[in-house]
Amino acid sequence: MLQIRGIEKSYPKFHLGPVDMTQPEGYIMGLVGENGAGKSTLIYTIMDLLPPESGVIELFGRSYRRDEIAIKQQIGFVYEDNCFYDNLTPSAMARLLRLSYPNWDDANYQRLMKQFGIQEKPLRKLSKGQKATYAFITALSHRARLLILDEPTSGLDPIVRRELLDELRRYVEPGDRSVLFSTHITSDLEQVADLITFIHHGRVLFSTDVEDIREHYHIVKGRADGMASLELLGRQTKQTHVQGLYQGDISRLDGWDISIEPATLEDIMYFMKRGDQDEALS
Amino acid sequence: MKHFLRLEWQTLKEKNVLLKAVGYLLFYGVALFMIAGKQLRGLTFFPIVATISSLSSFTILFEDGKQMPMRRLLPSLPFSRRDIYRGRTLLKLMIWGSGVGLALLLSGLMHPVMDTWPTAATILIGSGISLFGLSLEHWSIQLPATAGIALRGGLLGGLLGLMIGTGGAIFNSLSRIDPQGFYFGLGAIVLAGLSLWLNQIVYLRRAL
Repeated sequence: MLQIRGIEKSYPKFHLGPVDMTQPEGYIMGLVGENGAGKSTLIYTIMDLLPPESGVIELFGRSYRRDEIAIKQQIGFVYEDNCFYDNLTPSAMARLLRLSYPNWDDANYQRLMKQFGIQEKPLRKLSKGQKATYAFITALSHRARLLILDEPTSGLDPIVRRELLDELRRYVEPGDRSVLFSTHITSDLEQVADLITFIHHGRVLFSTDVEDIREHYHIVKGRADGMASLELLGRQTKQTHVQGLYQGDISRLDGWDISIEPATLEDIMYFMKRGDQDEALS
Repeated sequence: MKHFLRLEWQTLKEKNVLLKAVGYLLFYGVALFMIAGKQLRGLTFFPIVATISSLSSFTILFEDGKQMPMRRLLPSLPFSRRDIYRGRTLLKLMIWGSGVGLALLLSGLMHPVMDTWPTAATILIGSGISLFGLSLEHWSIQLPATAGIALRGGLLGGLLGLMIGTGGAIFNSLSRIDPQGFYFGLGAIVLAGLSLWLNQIVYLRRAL
């Protein structure tokens, strides 16, 4: 569905890539990384809003150069903040979107509007959460094959967030649709994502399925002197004890005097960003 | 392109700005006559009306606060950048053409009382200036929202001030140098075309 090969983009103080990534049909892929890691840059590049300096992006087996309109008709895109005309009401905005998308599904749009209780008043007067929900509804209302969502759940209350995530699950059920969404709320990804792409300082550290992460990333804790020779992706030393992120087969740790727990995405982000740091006990 | 123009037209209707633009024009026109009635004769009436009608219309019709639809919403919809740029440009040219037509009509209507009917040279020069103004205003699509608003306001105010203040002298000098207005009018059109073309190149290649 989405194939990215060797994408690079440079700014004076930031370089993205080279990024290689594949998004198969029927899966939800979470794009995760700290603020400024390059998630939005990558998403804007996939949307052709930022022309890359090198590399190839293929969506549905097509390239923007030849099939820009056909590609965009099959994408439902949500910006991090409101991009709609904020003096318009949701129904007026929907009339514009209906003109833009030949596959606009009014029944689904009305169902979602009712479900999420979006009020009929100028978009600027909606709360931040309602604006985000409205953008999400419009992306789900034109039978897109790929949803690309840039931080869609930030600013939403937990109940609406849960409902939106349920909608995402329902959306990919038929098996021929996919979702790519970036977030730094890792608990959202743990609920719905099948695949995770982790970006750090503009580079993809891994792009794999959730099971693979559960199998290969663990938090290990133990005495500092006993763990000095253990290779960790990041470690936090508190006087005599160390905890850190271990990547690899945990059967190799048999015999070590350490405790081992599965790493959450937040743990991975934390230790990847932090690297090795010592911390005095307070 | 046809689809994009339909979307743009529907957007203007949904934003409810068409009547507002007409009202704004009337208000602007009356205010202008109150402030600079004496200067609005013969040489300057047509160029001023042609310029303010198109530039002030753009201010009302395409002002979207901080939303920047040309850089955010529209490129994310299923339209090519080329269609978006050309569609918006064509719409502005149509509004500009209507402004020139309106200016000509008003020049004819006001002529019995104010001697406002323009010569062919004045029409060419006035059209050239307002078209060049359009091409400069069109660069606002490349700018951040507040800078775009400043560009529109500056252009409108600047061109108006220039023409009200020294318009008569400028057009007198120009008509002595170029009595038919042909070279000046053509020059302005060529410059406007060049500016629109460069603007397109930037829009098609840039990060939005």
